[in-house]
Amino acid sequence: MPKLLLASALLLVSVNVLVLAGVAYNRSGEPVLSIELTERELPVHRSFADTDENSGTSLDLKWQVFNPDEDNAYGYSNYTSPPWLDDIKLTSLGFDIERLKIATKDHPFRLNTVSTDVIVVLEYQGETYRKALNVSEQKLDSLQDKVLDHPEDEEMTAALSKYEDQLERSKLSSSRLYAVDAGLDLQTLMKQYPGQGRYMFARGEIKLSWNDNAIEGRIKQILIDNVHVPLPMSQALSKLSLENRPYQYDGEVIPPRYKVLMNLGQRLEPWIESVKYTSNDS
Amino acid sequence: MTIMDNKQKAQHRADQIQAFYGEVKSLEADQVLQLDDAQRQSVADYHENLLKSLTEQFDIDTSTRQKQLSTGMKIASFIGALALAASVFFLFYQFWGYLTTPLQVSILVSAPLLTLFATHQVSQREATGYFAKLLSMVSFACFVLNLVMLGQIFNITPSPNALLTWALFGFLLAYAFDVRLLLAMGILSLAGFIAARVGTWSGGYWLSFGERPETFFVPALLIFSVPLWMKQDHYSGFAPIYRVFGCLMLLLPVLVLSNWGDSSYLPWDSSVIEGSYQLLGFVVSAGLIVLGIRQHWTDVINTGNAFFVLFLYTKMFDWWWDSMPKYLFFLVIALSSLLLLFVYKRIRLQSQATEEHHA
Repeated sequence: MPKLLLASALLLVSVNVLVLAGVAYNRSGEPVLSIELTERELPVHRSFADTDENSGTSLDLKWQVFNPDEDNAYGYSNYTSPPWLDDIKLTSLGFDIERLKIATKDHPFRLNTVSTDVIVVLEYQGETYRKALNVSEQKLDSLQDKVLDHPEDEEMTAALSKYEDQLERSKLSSSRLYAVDAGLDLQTLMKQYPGQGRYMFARGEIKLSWNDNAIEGRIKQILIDNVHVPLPMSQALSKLSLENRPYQYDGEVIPPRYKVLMNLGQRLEPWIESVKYTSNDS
Repeated sequence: MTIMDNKQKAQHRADQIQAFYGEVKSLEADQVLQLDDAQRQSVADYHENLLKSLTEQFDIDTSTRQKQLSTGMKIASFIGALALAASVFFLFYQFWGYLTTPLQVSILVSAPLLTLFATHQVSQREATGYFAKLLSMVSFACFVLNLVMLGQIFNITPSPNALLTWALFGFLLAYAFDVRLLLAMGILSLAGFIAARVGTWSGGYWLSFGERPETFFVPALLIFSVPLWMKQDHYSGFAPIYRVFGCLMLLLPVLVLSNWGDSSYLPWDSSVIEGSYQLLGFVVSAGLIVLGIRQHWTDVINTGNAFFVLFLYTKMFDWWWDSMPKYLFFLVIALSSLLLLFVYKRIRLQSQATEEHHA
């Protein structure tokens, strides 16, 4: 037994040393990038249970995918397939698309279990966000004209109200981080998307599915989509009012109450550098 | 005097002694056997010494009452271990937000080490081992909490290596303190790690390993074979745990694949995959029953039996649930159960005859 006990103690110590050395390596030197985001992109994590006993504070990383062909009626979407994730891009990410097409043509559901881990490029408040806003405004204009022509159509009036709400959210409270590309090599992506504060990179998983007789890729998840906030920064954040569910898809629309400076380290693992409050709520 | 190498064997011997006295009493009442005083005394002395030695060595139960109490203690210890482990999790969750990062890390790193030390101390003082087993479970829970929470605090990318370290710690504690529950935890963590690695080599992301049941075949065979190349004689009930978990990790994925062929790696039509796995399910579970009978592995026989019946009833449900009136469907199930009873009875008679022939 003494040998087993000694081995157990050694295992505990060595595993913790390895984990903490990894953390130190991630945070060593200059961060790979620093980006200032707001409550729109990093709202305080809210538990689904009202009786949540977790005293920790964390921020949810909210990101979107823009697809002009999709009807994004709720003002927030990351489930659709982005247009840039075409066959060429999927092949560059390691998927053998031609082989998969032949193998899965008769078995479309087989594709649902095919996925890979990649680095996703998230554009902040850039061209994609502006495009998404324009498309929403155009949809709203066209719908307003239709309602003027058919004021008795209740369905159309309800749709108008929904799109007005969506546009308000897009302008005021929904995330301006859009997934615009993905790759396997961080250095290549950083050269391709320079400019501190405009882009961030996150490890994610891309999975395939079969849609309209074609292979479709979508971002299944960003691996670290919840960022821990340590003391003392967590004190004020945890006191922010979460009543009326601000920053939830159906919650109250309010402008962001804080800005967060987030760093990404050598292993693309993030940490919060500072939190600045933009209103009296803090 | 016979030397015992584990508590289970020692308990079995003590039960045999108890049964022996019961049988001698019956034989004497029926006047089949009469022991004289000298013989009776000699056997009693031998058994007294043997039981004393076994009790000192393994803290076994030497009476029915003791045995009943021990069962209660085992249940209490099992529930206590699980509840205490859960309590440790929630205690930390309740208060960690009020602690600074260095303090959080210190608590997380030291908790499994301190509970490991406490387990050792308690095991030295208490012969039954119930409290040491309970504490070892808490130490394991603290280590799981340790890595999970360090991951949250420092936003670390999830890695399958955590499963490997939990497996190693689970195995070390299980063998150090003879804890079957921790052996099961170690086996499950190891199976998760191997399945994740196999999934990664096949081109998927490691966290998606659960979507591909075939990734569990490799750990299933490895875990089932452990008692064959690593003798478990010194540990109570470890070999059956390896075998049962090996069987479950093989047969559960086969059951899933026999109903959902699209989750397979095989490049065939889904119906062909499902049909092949249905056939494989019957062959493997029947094969396990035969293997269990030959090797006297009751655990393997029971697992094989349970899955054979499960495969049979699942197939019947597929074939007939929609097309048959319900009374007929359940009648077919009842008749098939009767048929199984006849088959098992015949096998039982055959094995009885073989044993008598060997005797």
